Amino acid sequence: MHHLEVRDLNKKFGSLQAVEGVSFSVEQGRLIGLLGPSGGGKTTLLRMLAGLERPDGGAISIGGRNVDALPPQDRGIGFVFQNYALFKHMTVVENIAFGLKVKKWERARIYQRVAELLALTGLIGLERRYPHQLSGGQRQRVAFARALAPEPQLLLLDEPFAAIDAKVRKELRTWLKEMISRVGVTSLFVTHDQEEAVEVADEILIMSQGRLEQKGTPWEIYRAPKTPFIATFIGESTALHDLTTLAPFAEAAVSIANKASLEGHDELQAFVRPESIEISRSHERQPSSAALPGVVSHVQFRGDAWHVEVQVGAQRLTARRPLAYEPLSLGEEVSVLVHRLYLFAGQQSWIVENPFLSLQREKERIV
Amino acid sequence: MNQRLLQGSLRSLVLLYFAVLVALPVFAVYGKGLSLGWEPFWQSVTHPLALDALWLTVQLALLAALINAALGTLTAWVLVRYCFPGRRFLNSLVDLPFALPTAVGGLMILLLLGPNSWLGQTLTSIGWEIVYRPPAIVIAMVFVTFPFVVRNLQPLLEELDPAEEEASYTLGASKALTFRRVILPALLPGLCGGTLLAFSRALAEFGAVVLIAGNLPGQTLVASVYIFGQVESYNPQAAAAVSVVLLTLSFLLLFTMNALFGRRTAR
Ligand SMILES: Nc1ncnc2c1ncn2[C@@H]1O[C@H](COP(=O)(O)OP(=O)(O)OP(=O)(O)O)[C@@H](O)[C@H]1O
Ligand SMILES: [Mg+2]
Repeated sequence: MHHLEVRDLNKKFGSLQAVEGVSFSVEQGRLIGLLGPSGGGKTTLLRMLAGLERPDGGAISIGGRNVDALPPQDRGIGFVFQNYALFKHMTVVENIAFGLKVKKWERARIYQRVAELLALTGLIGLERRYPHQLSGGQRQRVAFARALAPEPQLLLLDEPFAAIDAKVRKELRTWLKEMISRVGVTSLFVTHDQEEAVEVADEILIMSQGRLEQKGTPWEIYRAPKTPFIATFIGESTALHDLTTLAPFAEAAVSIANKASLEGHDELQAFVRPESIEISRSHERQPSSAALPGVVSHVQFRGDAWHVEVQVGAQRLTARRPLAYEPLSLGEEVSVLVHRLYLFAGQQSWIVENPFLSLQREKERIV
Repeated sequence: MNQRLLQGSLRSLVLLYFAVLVALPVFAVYGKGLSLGWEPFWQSVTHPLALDALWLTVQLALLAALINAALGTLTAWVLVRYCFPGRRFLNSLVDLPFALPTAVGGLMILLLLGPNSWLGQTLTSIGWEIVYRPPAIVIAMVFVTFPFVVRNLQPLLEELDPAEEEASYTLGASKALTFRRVILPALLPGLCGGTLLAFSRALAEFGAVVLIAGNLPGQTLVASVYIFGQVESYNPQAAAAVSVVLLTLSFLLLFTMNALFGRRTAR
């Protein structure tokens, strides 16, 4: 039994298909990151889950109960808005207590719950402040406490960190992750920052142009992107124009290309990630048939690594080089070792490991 | 340096303007009203006809202001929230009572509801006499002060964050509760301000009222018309005395309003 189930959700604004055929399910207590480019339909999806937007088609059930006919008031959800939408004329305490008063909780119980949430969100001392007297991070926490107060079954957060500066943002998202796992509420949060999604979420849903592209753990999505879009969206993949320049992969690529064209897909797309490329000076590693010769065409310091671009034949590749190694200079001849690349044709995808490399490892093990 | 000079002269200009157009006339009224001393002032004000006129005016103005509070809120809400053909036209029509000479407003009501009109005759036949009675005065006051509440509320309504309402819904609040607990508090300064202004203005209305009130002393004679009558009968001190009461009332209202909402708007 899944806690949240979405079946074939559709939404059109005029002629624009904002959400198209989205289906997925979420287990109880999971924290899901909804990731995708701007205009991808993330907010629209979230608003439909909350009942703030009426879907054109599809079904939503929360906690095993179909909520399609229910207004937002009765869905048992908490919503944290992008700009927090705190009630401006109410204090922190009044904001947090609002949902409880609406539900006619007893006074003593409200008092206790609010005190509990104030402590949980670290807002003690700010009880009597109005929203305009709070910092962005504090407002965010009030919004979180307010949404959480009536004990929702599902917490929806629309870009909860968007309006907060980079440093506080990092602290807040760790805080949020802890908080949600402590409370144990199933949560969905929208972001268009992939680092944020990867760091915080148990699972990621990637949406683009209204469609759900892939769902999986951050590692699954990183390791095995299902579509070229995801390969380029998660991590900075480089598209390869001509597979024959990467000699070690040519054979595998040709066999996959044949298989694909048999199935009617003639367009084979290939991507390689900077993290799976190793660049070394010739004396740093034994020459091997797995590696290719290349020429350094650009070097840049990126804080935690060297960002290196190399020209291999007609193909320019982007790679990282650890700071522990000596910096490379422009025009230097290097050996380029590509560990794996991603191939896509139609709906199918393949991860191809460097065949010579695995051969080499095999040998080393035997020796 | 130039900046300073500019600021200084601007400030003096505003003060001069204020002195000539507001302060001096106000002092003149207070001066005239009290020119013969406290005793005659008190007699003029407590003259039964004056008292009747003042009391009637306050009652009717209050009623008109309350009607406008409700009607104005509704109008502002519809004009801001709903999209319908003719909305812009209606919106510009709201200012009509300010743009028209108020006497024309009075005439319009007379023509619409007067004894010679179809509507007036129908209403009389079912026993509702409107013109030359208090209801007509209230209608005139409502008409003349209609824009205050609407124009005070519109910017506040436009500024409202729709997400605040949605947040309220997701927290379980119904539409009515959301209006009462989330929207109304945000509108309150504008609503009170607009209503007080409408009340102030209704207290003083002359042009529209004089045509349709009947002006029977003790029954349908409002303060402004009473003042006019006193001036006409060469009794400027009594006219000023009643004016002093109206003025003082208006000032009190303005100060209350500022004390209540001034700090918030200043922020
Ligand atoms: N109320 C609306 N009326 C018309 N079009 C809308 C409405 N809401 C959203 N859209 C359109 O639907 C598409 C999806 O919008 P949505 O806000 O869901 O994107 P998003 O993924 O949240 O983007 P972002 O990351 O920029 O917030 C966009 O093209 C947007 O212009
Ligand atoms: Mg959005």
